[in-house]
Amino acid sequence: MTHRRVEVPVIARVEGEGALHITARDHEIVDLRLEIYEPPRFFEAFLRGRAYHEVPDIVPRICGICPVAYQMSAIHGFEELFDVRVPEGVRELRRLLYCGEWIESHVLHVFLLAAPDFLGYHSAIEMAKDHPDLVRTAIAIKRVGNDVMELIGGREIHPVSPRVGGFSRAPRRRELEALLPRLEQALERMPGIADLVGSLERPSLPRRAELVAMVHPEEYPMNEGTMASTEGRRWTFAEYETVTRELHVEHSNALHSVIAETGTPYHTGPLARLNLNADHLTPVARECLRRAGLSLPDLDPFSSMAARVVETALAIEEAIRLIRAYEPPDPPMAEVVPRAGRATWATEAPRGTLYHRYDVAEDGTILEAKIVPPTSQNLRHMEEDLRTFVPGVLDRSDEELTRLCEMVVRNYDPCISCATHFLRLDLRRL
Amino acid sequence: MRRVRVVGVGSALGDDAAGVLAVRAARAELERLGVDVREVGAGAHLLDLLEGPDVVIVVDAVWVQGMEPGEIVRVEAGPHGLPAELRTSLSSHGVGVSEAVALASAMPDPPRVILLGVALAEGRGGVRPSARVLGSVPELAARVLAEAAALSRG
Repeated sequence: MTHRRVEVPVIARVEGEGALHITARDHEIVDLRLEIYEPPRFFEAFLRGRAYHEVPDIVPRICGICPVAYQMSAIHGFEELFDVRVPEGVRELRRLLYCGEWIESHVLHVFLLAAPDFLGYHSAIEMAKDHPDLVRTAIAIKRVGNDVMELIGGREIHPVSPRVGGFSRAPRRRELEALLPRLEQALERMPGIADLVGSLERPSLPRRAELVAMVHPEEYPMNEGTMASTEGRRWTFAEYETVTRELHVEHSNALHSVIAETGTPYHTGPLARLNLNADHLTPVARECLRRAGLSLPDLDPFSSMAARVVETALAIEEAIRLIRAYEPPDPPMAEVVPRAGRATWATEAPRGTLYHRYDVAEDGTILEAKIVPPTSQNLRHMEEDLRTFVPGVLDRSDEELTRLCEMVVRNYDPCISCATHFLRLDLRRL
Repeated sequence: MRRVRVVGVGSALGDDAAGVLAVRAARAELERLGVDVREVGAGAHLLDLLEGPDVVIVVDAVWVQGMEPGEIVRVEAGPHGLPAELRTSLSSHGVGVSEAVALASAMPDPPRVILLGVALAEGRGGVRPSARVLGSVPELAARVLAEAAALSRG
């Protein structure tokens, strides 16, 4: 009988700090825990007592990679509660800002965090020596995403212009049009990138899973829609906390999420969005789907990198469309009059659905806040995936096993800082 | 004339703001010299700024064992990036200044990368930088300017 214990004390190329402990006997897992030891950050507590209009400046500090998502979930929630009608053009400008964040975040993950795994390198730095053109392409595409964010948001991280009611300043048409040539070049490169991703040998993990994302009748969802799952569930933002439930687990400073009715895990993210919204893919995104070798439905988490490539193409196409049709909102912001009540909203952050709820006093003071980031919703599913995946690869060396486990985790592009907020592997073969 | 870019790295809060504050103090003079001046909040955003110019001066708050808060350090990246003692990443998604510089150094024809850093006080948070770090900002700004002026002439 072989006993084995594997510890990955720090999971690399993920955001935040976590560890993986696996104890195995022969080909069976005795114990498997994804330990999230990154300390809690108490954002929900220090939002209490703040004014609603301060929230768009506080919540983006939760994440340097997806600050727009944090702003958008909060802003939309308050606007619905206060019955704010935003000026024409604000909706389009917000979608364009979100496109910038998707481009930047997805490219960082696909090329610098995930690609080295699939190409057999320990890091992007090693990969860059053999594939400089690939890295240059990635950096150029990421840059244009950053520039979209900087131009609209006032700076490239933690944007300052998005407000409840609209924007403090809307960019001029010619400022945005100056980005078009680089966006068009980036789009031209996407089918070739999809070919490359399609040619990579990747592990597979066929398993049953419930994938959750927003859906929208007319577009690929970012800021607006309702909730749906691949098991046929449908719910509104107001029902989020009754359909899903957060659980505290002893080994994690991040809460886990389950479907309340069944107690089973679910996961959000690009693969979920793609499975639930394939009808709304833009033309080049659809071509990338085919060329990356994806055929839907596809529930295999190792298809996530290809899903990110498809969504990058979509975000670039959407950005081009929105800029061509852009008319600056005038005024850029509507008047906002707060009222008491509960604000609930979700938007699609690059790594999955981000839900916010605020209980608000009559004068707009925050009485209670709840933020459910995509990574904490995905954590239980990461553990489930590892439980399914690891028994099949226990014959591998500790080094190879660690790499494979990290790949399983990285499929989710976790942001542990957001979730508490990953990975050390501690494997014990008993 | 060499193409020189100066990049201030850091958030606007606490000791981490030192690099950005120094670059802001020197910005007008730097721009007069034709230097491209940028600010980034995180190392991941530095990646795309290391392409294009001949020299990139990165200005950041650093933490190095044994250095006094406010002390200024100058290092130049080699073929493997920055020296190991500066490779402690405190950054998002494991892509910090040192990773970004190492990635750029691994590519063909990398730019010359000079890091001008100011040592921060350990565990120093808060809104305002500490007095010792703030006190070093004028000198850091002067060093950035002197370095950029010499490089753009050269």
